[in-house]
Amino acid sequence: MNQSASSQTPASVAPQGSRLKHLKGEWLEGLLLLSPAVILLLSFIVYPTISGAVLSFQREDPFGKSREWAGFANYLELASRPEFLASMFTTLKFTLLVAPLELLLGLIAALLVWRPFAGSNFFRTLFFLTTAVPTSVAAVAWGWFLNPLSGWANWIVRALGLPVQPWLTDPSYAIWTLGVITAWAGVGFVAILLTAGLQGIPEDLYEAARLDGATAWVQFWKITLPLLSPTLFLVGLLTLFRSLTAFGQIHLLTKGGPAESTFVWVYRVYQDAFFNFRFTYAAAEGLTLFLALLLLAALQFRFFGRKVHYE
Amino acid sequence: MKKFLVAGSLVALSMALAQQNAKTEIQFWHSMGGVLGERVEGLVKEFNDSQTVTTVKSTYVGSYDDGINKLLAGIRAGKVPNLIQVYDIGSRTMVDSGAIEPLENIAKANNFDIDQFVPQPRNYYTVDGKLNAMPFNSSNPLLYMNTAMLAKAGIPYRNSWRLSDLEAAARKLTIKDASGATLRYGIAIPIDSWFVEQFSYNSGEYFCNNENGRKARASEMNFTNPADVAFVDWWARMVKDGVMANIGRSGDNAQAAFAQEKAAIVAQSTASLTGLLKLVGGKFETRTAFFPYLKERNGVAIGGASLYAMKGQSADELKSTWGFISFLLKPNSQAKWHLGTGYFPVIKGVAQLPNVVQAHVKQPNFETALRQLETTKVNNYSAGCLAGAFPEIRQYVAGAIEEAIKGKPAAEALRDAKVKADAALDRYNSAIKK
Repeated sequence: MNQSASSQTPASVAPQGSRLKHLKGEWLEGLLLLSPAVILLLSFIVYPTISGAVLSFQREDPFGKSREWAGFANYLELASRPEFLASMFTTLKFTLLVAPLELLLGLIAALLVWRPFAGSNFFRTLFFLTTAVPTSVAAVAWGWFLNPLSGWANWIVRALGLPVQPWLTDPSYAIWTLGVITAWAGVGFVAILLTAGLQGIPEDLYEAARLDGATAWVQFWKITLPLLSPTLFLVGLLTLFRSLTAFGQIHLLTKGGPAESTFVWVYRVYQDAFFNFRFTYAAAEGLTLFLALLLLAALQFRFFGRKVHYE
Repeated sequence: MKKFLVAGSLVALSMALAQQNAKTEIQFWHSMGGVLGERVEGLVKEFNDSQTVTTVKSTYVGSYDDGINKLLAGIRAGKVPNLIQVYDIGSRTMVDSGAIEPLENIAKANNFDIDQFVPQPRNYYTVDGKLNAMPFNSSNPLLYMNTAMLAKAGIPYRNSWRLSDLEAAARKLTIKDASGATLRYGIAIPIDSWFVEQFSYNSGEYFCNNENGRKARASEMNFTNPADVAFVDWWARMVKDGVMANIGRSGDNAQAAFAQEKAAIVAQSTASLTGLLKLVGGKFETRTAFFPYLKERNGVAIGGASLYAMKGQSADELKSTWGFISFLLKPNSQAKWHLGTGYFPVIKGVAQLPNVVQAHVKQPNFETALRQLETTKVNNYSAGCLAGAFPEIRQYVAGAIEEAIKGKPAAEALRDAKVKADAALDRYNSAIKK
């Protein structure tokens, strides 16, 4: 008994030990393979976020001298300034225009080109083109196009016999104009993702539906939309964040004006940090924005995530 | 023989290297793009080629805002250039930083008499009784006029304009179609606080308290003064009546409107002279005139930027930095800079140099800026407002113009902007005091 046990042990331990070793090796290898991503994430996302959070509880002069703890002073100032509230409202207005518009136009574009037809590749490229154009280039081009005196936009409007429009120079227009520009730039990206999503829907479902006499309309509501919902959910989340953090086009076209009508949240963070040299206060603004985005993502997962239909 | 050649070239090479090493390199950050950037680089190259002691490494660091931003980041990190160009409204901040070596000290150490500076720019950059920076690109606001349109409308050209006279002229120059839509605007001014500031000075008002922050640190803005209220009200009225084009905040838009003959008059800096004339390309005759005033003309403050030598340079570096500055102050460099850009000379006597006088006869527009400067009273109005948080304050003033155009009474728009601006100034002042 004793003997058999002792004779058995080395035999059973040997493979177990090597498996453990093997596992350990795998684990190490995995860690090694992951490390570039982890290191990048730690140094470019985690570390700045933490140091930004620390900064937001401090106070300093514009030269970074005399830095001291300030408790919640920055956050209290934030809450007490009407400009900040106004920025939140502007951001909301902007997002409520951009995200749905981008999603809707992107969906229409995707529905037009997802089935191959003669020239479908051409149109797919065409739709994606707006996304391929760098924001700065697009903004400058839009600036020319919308120039109040010499832009083509007003030339077209005038040719149609309508009065010229102050696209970017009137406070009640500018935010909508920027919204359309932002949606325009994002449609291609949305269309590409949705096209991929559409192509993932099994063709036999449509065949069966057609045999049952379902119209295209019914097919869209009963097959396309439900099966596209995971992609739509993801794309919706992305467009939402894209519009909440829009910056380049605002910086280049309106700089928050006219009359602060396009002063979105992100732009205020930028201005307070790199224009007004109030880094600690801007850190508080940035962190608040970060928390708001986090909350929004959580809400979206909670309310829409469940309704998403996975095949 | 071959060996000899190799050895010889090696010696030559090492000598060249040694010479290279002996040169002191200084870093110069500037914010001049386009035509102006070419002119700066031209001067740098000329300086580098003219002597063997110093190599100036110039870097275009983006806009003025980008430049000072980069500098503040540099101050934090302990890495600053030897010399940096900072805009007029950064003056208070630069002095408060404690990171600069006042120009007056360096000039004194090198036996340079600062009385050689033209008084107005010297006045502007003198803070707490000391000249802190070298006035480099000094400008004024000007009116640019399409004289062909003026002649056609029967308006004689003159260089000095009261605001009410300018309004009458602009109304005459405006052309509308049957429906009342404007086909050609009388005037276009980009929405920029700078013009509101200049209107204060030119009308004999302070833009901020304590005599433009010259007697003591400014603690409150003063752009609710009668001149500025009248100016912003005028601005909004002119836009509403379709006499002034609302072209937004972009100076480029104003220049384009002028060059494309969509506006007969535009307000721009003297610095735009070369670029604007290039844009017009001789399609029509352009004449410049002084900036308008309300009742009595005091003269405007200078705008533009100046060069700051940074603290903490080695003796060699400081010597080289001064070498470059004194090169820029030479009458010849000043003349070249003035005629190449439209900025005016900051050293006395340059305007009287034969080649400058000759150029002025050929292109009288260069002279307008100088005449405007010469006829400006040297006082605390024309010294210009010195205040912290100025970039932020400018945003509020620009916003007030836009609010007024939208329909808010000018006095109210400016009053609301003053509340925000005073809060910003207060935040700055209390952060500095600590």
